[in-house]
Amino acid sequence: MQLTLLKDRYADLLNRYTGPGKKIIVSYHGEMDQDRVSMLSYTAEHQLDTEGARRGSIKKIFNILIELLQNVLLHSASPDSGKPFYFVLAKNMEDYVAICANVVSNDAAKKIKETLEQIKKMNEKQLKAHYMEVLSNDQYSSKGGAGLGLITVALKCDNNFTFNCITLDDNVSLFELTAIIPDK
Amino acid sequence: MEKLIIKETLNNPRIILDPSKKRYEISGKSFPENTKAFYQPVMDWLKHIPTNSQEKIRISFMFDYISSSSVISIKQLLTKIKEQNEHGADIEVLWHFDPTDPDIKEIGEAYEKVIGMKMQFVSKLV
Repeated sequence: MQLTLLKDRYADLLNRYTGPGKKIIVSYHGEMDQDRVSMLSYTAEHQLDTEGARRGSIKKIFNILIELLQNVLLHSASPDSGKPFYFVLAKNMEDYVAICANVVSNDAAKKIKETLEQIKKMNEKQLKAHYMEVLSNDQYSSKGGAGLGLITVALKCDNNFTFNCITLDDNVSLFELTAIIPDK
Repeated sequence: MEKLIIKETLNNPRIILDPSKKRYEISGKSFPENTKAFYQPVMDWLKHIPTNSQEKIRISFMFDYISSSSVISIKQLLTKIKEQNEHGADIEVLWHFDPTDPDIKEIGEAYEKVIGMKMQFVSKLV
């Protein structure tokens, strides 16, 4: 059921970003591992460069992609079937859109939702102050992230992101994040 | 001190900590899967720097990209350097940055503030 939903939503996204003024730059649906993180982020960087994206945009997108993809690697919860995810980087008129989704535990979904709702209310100055606050905190997440990843995504896309948490069953949810980066 | 060499890959930086050549560098992109495990040998190497030596050690950090999980691990390395200096070692950190890319310089400045340790900022030639 989980896998079907991922597959359907992925197919919808491919349709949504096909047509006049739209273009899929990199997309992938499958299992996550570290090689996939490198492969997708370097492919995206190369493709963006080839199509003449601005250097500043490429750098921001590379940052966002690594954070999103490493989140999938470190925080997926789908013991029966590896770490299924989908990822789409598309151009939509003058903006780049990065979308990444994976399966997380319901507890993790609740925490991510709370963190993102808090981040969403912050302006750039507050986000930077929050970054420093988290960096100063010596508590080290056993999985290495310590919350800086989501703040980094928010800073790189000027807080222009949306997210969705869809409960799949008693244990897990689908988590999807969409970041919008103008090509400026 | 033993030498520590780690080859660069697509997601981890190159590490050269070689006392015989007096060459101390960490360079490249940093987004390993498990940053704590990746940087542990560097942490162990730093712990073995003698604190009673008169010799100055200059370590160059030359990153092109640092993921958020690496940011935490590198902070721990710099904190260890600060501790070693407080115990008598003489380690200088050279933080290299590309002047056309504000990210790496900003991370270095954030470390100086959070750790309370002076670093030398070195602008790459472009």
